[in-house]
Amino acid sequence: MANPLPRRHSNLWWLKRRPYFIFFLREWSSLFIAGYAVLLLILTSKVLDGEAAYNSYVNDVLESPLLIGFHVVALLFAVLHTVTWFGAVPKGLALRRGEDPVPPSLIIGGSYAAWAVVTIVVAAVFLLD
Amino acid sequence: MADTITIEVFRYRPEDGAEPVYDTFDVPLRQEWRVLDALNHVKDEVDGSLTFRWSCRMGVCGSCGMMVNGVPKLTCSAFLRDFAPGPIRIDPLDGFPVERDLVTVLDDFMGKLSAVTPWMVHKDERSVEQGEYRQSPAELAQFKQYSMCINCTLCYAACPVYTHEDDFLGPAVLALAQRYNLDSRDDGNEQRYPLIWSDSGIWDCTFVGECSVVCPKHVDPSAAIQQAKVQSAQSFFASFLPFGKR
Amino acid sequence: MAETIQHDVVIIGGGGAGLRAVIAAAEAHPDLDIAMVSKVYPMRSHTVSAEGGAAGVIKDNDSKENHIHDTISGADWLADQDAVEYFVDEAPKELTLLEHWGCPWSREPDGSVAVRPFGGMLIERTWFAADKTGFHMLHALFQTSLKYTQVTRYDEWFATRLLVENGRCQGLTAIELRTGQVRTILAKAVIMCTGGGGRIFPFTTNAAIKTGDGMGMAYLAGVPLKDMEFVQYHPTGLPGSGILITEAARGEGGILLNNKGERYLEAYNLGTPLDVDDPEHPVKRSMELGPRDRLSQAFMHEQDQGNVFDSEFGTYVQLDVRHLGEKEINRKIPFVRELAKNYGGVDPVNEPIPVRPVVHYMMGGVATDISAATELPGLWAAGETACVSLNGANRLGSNSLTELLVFGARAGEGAAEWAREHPDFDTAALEAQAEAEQRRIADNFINKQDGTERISTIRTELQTAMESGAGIYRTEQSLQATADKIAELKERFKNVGLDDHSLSFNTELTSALELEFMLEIAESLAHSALQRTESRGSHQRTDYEARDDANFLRHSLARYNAGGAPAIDYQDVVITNWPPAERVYGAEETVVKTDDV
Repeated sequence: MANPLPRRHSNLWWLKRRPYFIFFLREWSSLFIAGYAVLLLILTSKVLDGEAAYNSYVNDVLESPLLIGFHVVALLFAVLHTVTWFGAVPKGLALRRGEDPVPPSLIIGGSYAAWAVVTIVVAAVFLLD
Repeated sequence: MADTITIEVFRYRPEDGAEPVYDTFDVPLRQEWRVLDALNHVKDEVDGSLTFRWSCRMGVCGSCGMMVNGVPKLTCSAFLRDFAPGPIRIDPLDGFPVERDLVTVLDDFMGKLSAVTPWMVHKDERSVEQGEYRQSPAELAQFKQYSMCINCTLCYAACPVYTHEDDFLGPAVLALAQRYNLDSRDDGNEQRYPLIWSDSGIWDCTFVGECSVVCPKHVDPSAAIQQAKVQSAQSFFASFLPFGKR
Repeated sequence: MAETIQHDVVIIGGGGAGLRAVIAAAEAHPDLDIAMVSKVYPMRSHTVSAEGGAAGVIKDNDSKENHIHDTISGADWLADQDAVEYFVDEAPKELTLLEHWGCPWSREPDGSVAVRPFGGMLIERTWFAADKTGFHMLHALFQTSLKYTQVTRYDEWFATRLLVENGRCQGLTAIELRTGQVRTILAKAVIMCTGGGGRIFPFTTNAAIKTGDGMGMAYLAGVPLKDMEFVQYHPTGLPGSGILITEAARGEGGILLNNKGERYLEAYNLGTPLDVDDPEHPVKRSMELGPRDRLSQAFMHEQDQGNVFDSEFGTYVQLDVRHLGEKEINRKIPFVRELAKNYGGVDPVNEPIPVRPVVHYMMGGVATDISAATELPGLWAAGETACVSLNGANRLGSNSLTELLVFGARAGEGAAEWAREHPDFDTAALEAQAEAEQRRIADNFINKQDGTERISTIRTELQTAMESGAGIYRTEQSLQATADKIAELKERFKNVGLDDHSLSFNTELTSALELEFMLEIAESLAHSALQRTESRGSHQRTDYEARDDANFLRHSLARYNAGGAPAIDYQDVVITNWPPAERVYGAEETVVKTDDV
């Protein structure tokens, strides 16, 4: 007689193994990055509202210890997200030279290089005025 | 090295309907023994009712996957010495119903495998007299890796999406679809897209990536899925272009 | 008794031959209702372990004549030549079909299929998919078979016996593993594709499932087993585990060395070694590319002379592929590297691989004619289970994968035709037989509480007896001792007891049933070997060292005899164009055909 045991799963699966936990952190990082984006949008709108509004927002809100803490955490998550994302690029981008695959390290290195170039270009546009 | 090592084996006896238990056995810790040898030792010498699947004992038939200390492994390639001094806990693969002891129910996997049109579709079928389809070594290399899957289902046991979502086609099956889609001889992509681009296909994957880590044959199903996502996204955006083609 | 299931054609066994038969039957008559019964999921079948490749003539430098001659001389002239001609004709077509079905054959730069040399071959003609050819063929066949909606699969159903009524095979009984129920499956035609039985030996490349079930079932149903005395030892298995290191390693240029560092094959009339850097190396039909029987026999002589290495897993020689370099090894024989690293503890890029002869293949099997039909109407057989006979006294490497395609297809077509012409069943009588089988299994195993013999004890004693008495070299004494031991074990088997008396997925029960088949085919093997008082191919009698064409250019036929030892009968070999001659390797050879005589 067949009487299979139904499949089992636990809501704490993400604590069972380290790779799952890191995945879990990576997914949570998006919340912090979204939060940061909201603050940035508010900041932009304050700029449009004039210097006084901007200053009071920076002094009263952004410089509060709570939000400084938030930014530090968001930065750490952003780094985690960037590193894991770049690490994953070779998965989606399977480049080949003839029969041989392009080594993942080259694709990852290329991603960092592209990131650096974009950062420099953006910085140049806004800072070298 | 000690003379023996302890294994704790998951036991589920469907006929008494009782909760699963762990049985403990001390087995010889021999240099060349794999977890599978330990299980066979128990079955032959101690308890003939211990139930598990195995066959080729050389890592290619895909029968003997189990959780070894919580990680999906082919037990014919998991050496006891690597787990010394033990104990070693042996469970059936996660994510599947259990038929008995270490034997999982594969109906769901087999059904999904059949569903992705895992065979060649040719628009213009060559006759045998016309000979083989030409395929350069570079074209072969495009899909070769994804053709190496032995259907051991370790990747399913490692995938938290599969263990939580009933519909998800899962890593091996999606990699298999990609294997055919990338084959220069095949014309079946259009037939496969609706299912693999659906909600139970590639877009269910959250990119945990553990499927590729546990794969004993380096198939890298995670890469296959991410590449399929890129194709699917390209097709989606191209559909808005006036002269875009899917 | 559970309900009776009916199909037009039922294939037993889900390996390469079985799947090819399924596809052939479905293509031949799409209206037929086809079923496949397999004790494991099809992709677990042992075809998956085949490594090196499949032979078929496609290149301009080769000819069918060459393939025929290589096969016949490899077989030490015990192959039926009409079967060989048919096989060689069909081989390229079948391999091309596999290509159309997606098998990822390795390619030449121009996109055509690549070939490599194998042992005993005059010209390279082995199609390959790196060194996982069987794996790729099996998965391509299985996945292609999924296309046919008229096919019902009974995966993990263990066939226990054939149902024969009114002189016709009309079905089988099988245990549905998950429920433990014995089911009756009626079939107008049955095809047996259950592989060989290498597990009757202790040291084998064969997977655990290769227990000769199909040979046993046919034999017990009255069909003779042909040429069972011929067992192929592959010269290169890993000591200890017996895991196969493919002949392709030598086809790509690997060499064999004894403990003095000598390429010892030179001493056994297999040619003169060329340096590994010589562009002519490896020379076909020479040295390391000699036939498997001769290479395995050479090892035994080296062992007698103390020229082999010693280890806790037995003696060995070395297979050296280091000169190929890491890149070629990864490209051509990556699985060899993986296996040697995982199970042999050496990386062949840096060290030679320890190897020794290991039981690999049974040339004998269920006797069939050239159309894969047995003498029992309604029953076909193909693949290693069957003996057509193509392989004679020694199979040529890379002929077996092609054989399962060629004769699997032939069996599928023949059975489909037969099923259309024989629509009726003797249902009542068949169901009565099935009920008797169900009772037998319950009484002898599941419900029996007082058995005292352990399965593993009997199995181990059988394997030991086979190796000591029916190995590479045999004598009357050794074979008689083995035959006596098997008779004793068959008696003791009646007293076997299980720990597991449950029904759901009872693998101890299937082990017992497998052991029952193993004892039967082992007995047929020992007695066939005892009565063949000559040496030919893989059957080497030290008390009868010469080949004896006058008396033994004949196939042996072992028939089951409920009361005792099997009755051994003989059948002439079919000779068409190639009269028996001496087997020559490592030197120029004149091929003689009857036309020239």
